[in-house]
Amino acid sequence: MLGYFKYYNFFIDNISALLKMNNKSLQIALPVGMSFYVFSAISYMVDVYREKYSADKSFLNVVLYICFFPKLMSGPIVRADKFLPQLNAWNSLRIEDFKTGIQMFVIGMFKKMVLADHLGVFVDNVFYAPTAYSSLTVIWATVTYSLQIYFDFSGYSDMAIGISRMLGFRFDNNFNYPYLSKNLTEFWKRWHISLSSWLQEYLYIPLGGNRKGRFKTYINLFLTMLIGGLWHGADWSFVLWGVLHGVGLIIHKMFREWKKILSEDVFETNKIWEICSIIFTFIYVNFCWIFFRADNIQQGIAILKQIIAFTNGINQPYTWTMFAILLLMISSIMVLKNVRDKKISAIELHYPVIDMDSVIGLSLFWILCGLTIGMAYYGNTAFIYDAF
Amino acid sequence: MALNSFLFVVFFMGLYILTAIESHFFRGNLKVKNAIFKCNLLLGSYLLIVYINWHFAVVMTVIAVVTYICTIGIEKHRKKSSWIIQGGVYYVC
Repeated sequence: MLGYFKYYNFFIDNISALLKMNNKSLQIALPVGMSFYVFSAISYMVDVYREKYSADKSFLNVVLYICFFPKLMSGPIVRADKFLPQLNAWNSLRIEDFKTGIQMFVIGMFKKMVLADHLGVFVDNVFYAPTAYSSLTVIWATVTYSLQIYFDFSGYSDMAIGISRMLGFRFDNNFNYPYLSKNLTEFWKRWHISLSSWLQEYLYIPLGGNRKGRFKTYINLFLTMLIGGLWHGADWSFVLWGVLHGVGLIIHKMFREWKKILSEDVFETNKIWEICSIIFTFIYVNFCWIFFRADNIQQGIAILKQIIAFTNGINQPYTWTMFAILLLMISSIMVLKNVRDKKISAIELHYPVIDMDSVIGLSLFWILCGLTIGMAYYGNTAFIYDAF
Repeated sequence: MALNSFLFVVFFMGLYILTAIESHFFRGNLKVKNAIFKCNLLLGSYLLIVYINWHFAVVMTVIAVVTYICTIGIEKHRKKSSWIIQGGVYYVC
């Protein structure tokens, strides 16, 4: 099913080009959220096969697990053992769940409609004609895209998890400040957590994981990321994006083993090293996003050439990017401080952020709603991950 | 058809209010309340997907049916379960 709807044209186009045959691609519309619910279905079947839990006898429950509307379009990929027990145990709507859920929903909307969509206008302009812009503007556009995709997808996830919460379902967060990661391995533990854990459990480990020697581990990592890239879209630019992440993960694994040989913990304790690691990881992730955003590999290369060329061109004001960076920094500092003070996981700390029982809390909530409506971008903008 | 944020909020509010009213009505009978809640969610999910494109609802239903049959089959025929799981995964992929 997924192969037909998502990859048929990709393979036909490539085979036709390779064999110089007439192109026989079809007009196929990819069903919304198909990649997400196919992964949910696979995880459920595999878990039942592995006897992790027994199959649900109710057809209604299984249909609902596949097509539960808040997570239908772009995930998160919730496992059946998380969803079905909550569905069966549901007994009423709770006001506490509503208060927390609506906060998550509104914050998600703010991220998507105010931040991501405004950032997207600048990114679209630069990626449409990169050669018209100065190198500095193109670099800034790539940084802006990193922010845009984060706010877009984490905004969607917050909205989906918030709606589920209002209905009485508790799902894990899908993002945990990924741009604060000190290496690529950590990045994949913080970015799109439901997908990376799915890939680890149903692809990387069945391939052998790290149990069959160093070389096989590298191959498994590479294959997992390659398939992860292809999952995002049927295009060579996504394949390249997956390859780059695979190579990055292999290099990090090699580096970790080298550190073990040296048995130096200077890397772990040194603050400057820590900050440099965060910056370096961000730069690499940012570089990979270029191919993810580009319409094809040629466009990605054109952007890289424009960056390296250091030429003059149109300079654009960066107001929204600065605003987004500022908000991200403030929220990161607040979360890091709270994590240290309360000694708990950053994921647990996200919500509820506002005490809706107090007048100040309630006022803050309505201010946030007003800001979201007032500052939102009302152009035609879909969620980036809708296309996957 | 594209679904905009405003329509989605209206749809969700409708579903939520409906669930709250039904929940109040059947507060004495947990089993019925749970069943109605599930039906509401299913109806909401299908309404949403049909609004976008009704063909997508067919694809989703086929995947759900295959998943259901495979998982029940795996449990019933443990000895042949590797064939069933392979068939199921190949089909949805």
